[in-house]
Amino acid sequence: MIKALFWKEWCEQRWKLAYGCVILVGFTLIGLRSRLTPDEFIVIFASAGGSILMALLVGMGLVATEKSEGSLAMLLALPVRSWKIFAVKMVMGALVCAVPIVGCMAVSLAVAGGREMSANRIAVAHLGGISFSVIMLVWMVAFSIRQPNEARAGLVGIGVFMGWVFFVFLFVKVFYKRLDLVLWGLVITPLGILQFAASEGQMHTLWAVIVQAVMLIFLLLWGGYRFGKEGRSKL
Amino acid sequence: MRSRAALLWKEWREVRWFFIVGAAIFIAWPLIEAVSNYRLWQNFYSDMPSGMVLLFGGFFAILVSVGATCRDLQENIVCFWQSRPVAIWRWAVTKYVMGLAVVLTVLTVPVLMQILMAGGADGSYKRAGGFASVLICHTFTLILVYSLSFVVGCLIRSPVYAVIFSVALAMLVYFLPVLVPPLESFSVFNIIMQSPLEITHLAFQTQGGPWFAEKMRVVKIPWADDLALRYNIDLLRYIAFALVGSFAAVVIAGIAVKRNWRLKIGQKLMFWLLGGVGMLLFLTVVFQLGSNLKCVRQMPVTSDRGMSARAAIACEDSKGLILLHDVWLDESSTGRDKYRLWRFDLSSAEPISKEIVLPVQVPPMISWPGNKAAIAWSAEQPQLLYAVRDSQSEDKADGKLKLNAAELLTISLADNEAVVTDKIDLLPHIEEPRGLCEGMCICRDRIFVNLSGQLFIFELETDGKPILKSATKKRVGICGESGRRDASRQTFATMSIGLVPGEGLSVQEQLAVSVELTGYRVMDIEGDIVVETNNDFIKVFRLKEVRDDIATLEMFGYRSPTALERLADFSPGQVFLRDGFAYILNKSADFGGLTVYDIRGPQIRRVGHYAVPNERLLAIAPLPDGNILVGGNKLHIVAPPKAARTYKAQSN
Repeated sequence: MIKALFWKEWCEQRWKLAYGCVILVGFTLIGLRSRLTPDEFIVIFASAGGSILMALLVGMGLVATEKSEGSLAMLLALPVRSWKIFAVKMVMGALVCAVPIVGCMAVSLAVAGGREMSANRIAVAHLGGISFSVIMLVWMVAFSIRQPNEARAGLVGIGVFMGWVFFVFLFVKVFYKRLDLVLWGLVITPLGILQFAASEGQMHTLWAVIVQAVMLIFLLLWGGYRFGKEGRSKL
Repeated sequence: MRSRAALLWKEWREVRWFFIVGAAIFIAWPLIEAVSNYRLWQNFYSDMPSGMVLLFGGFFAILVSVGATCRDLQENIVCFWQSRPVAIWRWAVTKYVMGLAVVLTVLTVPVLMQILMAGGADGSYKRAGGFASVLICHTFTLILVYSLSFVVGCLIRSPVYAVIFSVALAMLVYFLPVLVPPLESFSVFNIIMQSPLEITHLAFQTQGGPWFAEKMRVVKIPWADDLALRYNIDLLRYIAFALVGSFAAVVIAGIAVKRNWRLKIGQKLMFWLLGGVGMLLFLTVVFQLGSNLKCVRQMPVTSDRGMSARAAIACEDSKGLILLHDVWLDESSTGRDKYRLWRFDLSSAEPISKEIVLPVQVPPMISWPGNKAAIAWSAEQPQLLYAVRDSQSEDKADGKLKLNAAELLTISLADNEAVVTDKIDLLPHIEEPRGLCEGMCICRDRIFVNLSGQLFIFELETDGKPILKSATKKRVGICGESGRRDASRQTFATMSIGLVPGEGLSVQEQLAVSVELTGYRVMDIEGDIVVETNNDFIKVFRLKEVRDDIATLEMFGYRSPTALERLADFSPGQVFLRDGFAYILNKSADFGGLTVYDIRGPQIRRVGHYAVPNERLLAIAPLPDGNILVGGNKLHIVAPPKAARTYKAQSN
């Protein structure tokens, strides 16, 4: 049954995978070959921008589509525990988010590895992008799991992202004299993962990974608990 | 409550959340920053609003219009509205007007705030003028984007798909005119960069006003001139385009609602459409700015650089010199000029020599008119470099700048060390020592120097020592230009160039030396073709006649930079011609590089580009094998574009 669920998710999500691969890998390839801007810009734009795009694209269609199309009830009626269905959706969603960025990494390494950025930096920047994409997907799904359609799920995703940005902005403005505190502010939000991957901050990166991993587990448990339960967002 | 007021009240209730969130983002956020800046520097100012509105304003307009339309056009609600005794157009127009009011309030108030803060921050309104341009030009773009999204919302009726479709349309509205040259009059960025308010202000000035009015295309409106209304014609055209487009969109939206038109588009198609538009725009940028010339070889010259670097390459066959000029800041943050020199031989295994240390002299050692260094080097005497050294100071008598040093230096480069072996003081030969060196070149064992309105000619002896042969008061270089504009904005012009004396030189050589001595203009010559370029144009001239040491050239090719090129800071530093192609080096810090133009016909076409991000290319020189040498921190040997190779093969 799990295999069948994976197959169902694959059939639903594969066009998003193709879309991400074509757009992001195409952008990276053209950008790096044309040498329009420094390699660093293309690498960070593809990994960071791609991670946000893929998380929104996948997060919108993972649960909310099932609700709006009315297929969630049928899915829950299957002889499988609901958390397993949720886990299959999240695994497939994470893969769809990650694979296009892995493709960008491969293209970046092949075209521009060691040219302006070392291969190691390119890999770290993309790993940051993959991590961020998965984290954003989990946050988005956890908060939008009871939204009745894709539009609302998408708005929740944008809201979550803007919330992080606003939090960091406030933190920077309040603690502008304490760089160490600003860095800790970044650790709390997933934006820190992107920032530290781009700028190779060592100790804070480790803390960011630990903090985000703990939050991720909590959000997954919360999302798994609420998946398939009665109730609807009041928004 | 009357039905109009009731409709307005209903629409306000529906869009008020957009207003609150929009105000929090676009108004409160910059205010927080301004307060923070006040705490730091006692300066109540925020840089954010105009940037935020330019970046995200269009997206906010899309969200409001889609939010306003899609909710009420759902199947069950639209039937209700059709059953009410309210004309459908009134309902649609009220919705449109209320949404537009929210968009304009949220997006114009922060820019107005910024204009006020900028005025208060530095006591002048000069900086505020730029923000006012953003306010005036971009507001009409917002109206257009909002109107287009309104139609999309009425036709698609699904919020997500409508937003995606509208984003794709907005991207086309914002960026397609920047990228496609024939549409550049409809580019909001282009109009903002023209600073229409400043232009209009300048056009009113008595001195220089008419010149500005003509150059910046400011038109008089007969009935409005008394009210001091005079506008840049591009801005007027843009406003008309935005308003007509918006009106058309509202009419279509009204018809769509009345007749219940629908556009059924699937999710996949929507995303592919958005991605496709993004890729199309990106590819158009790449086609105009991306690099397509092949780098044959790269050789590092130096890794450490100062500020505002310049470079010169003197090259014959495969040998030559590269001279770098940097400004380094010392401990007291005072700029210190530093000249560094390398010899290169591209045919040897180690092409770049060790750095040749130049003697430090104050004031700066080598004159640098425009983007060219006043140096001369010949492969016949590879150990010798000739350079002009000059400096100015303020004359206490009349307060004007006066030349206080002018010398021709002969520098020996033997043993990798630069030693000044000879100096010829030129100051006693100058009648009015007012201007710096304008150019220097070497031709047929003679050195020509254009200095302070005089032409100096030196003969080189067999050991390379220069002997001053003549110093005449003669205007060399461009001595006259004329032109007119026709309805298609094309500039037809002739140019007169004062030639150097022709003893033993052909007319083409005279012209070549004269062009070389015009250091402050970016020009080059090949045969009887001359190219001149600057931030505003590339002009190609052909020699028409020579009379009394004056060459008259007639323009036959013209190109002005596209909107995208202007956005990427088109600023030519050096140019050379070869086989009917102009190789122009753009010294822009971000998008600099070598660009090749086909100048064989009146339509100048861009045929190739070479760019190296993170490295500024500062000097170019042709190589005998057909390749191009480009210098900066590294020497790059670049292959010419395919069109140039094919043309050369056909001519041979």
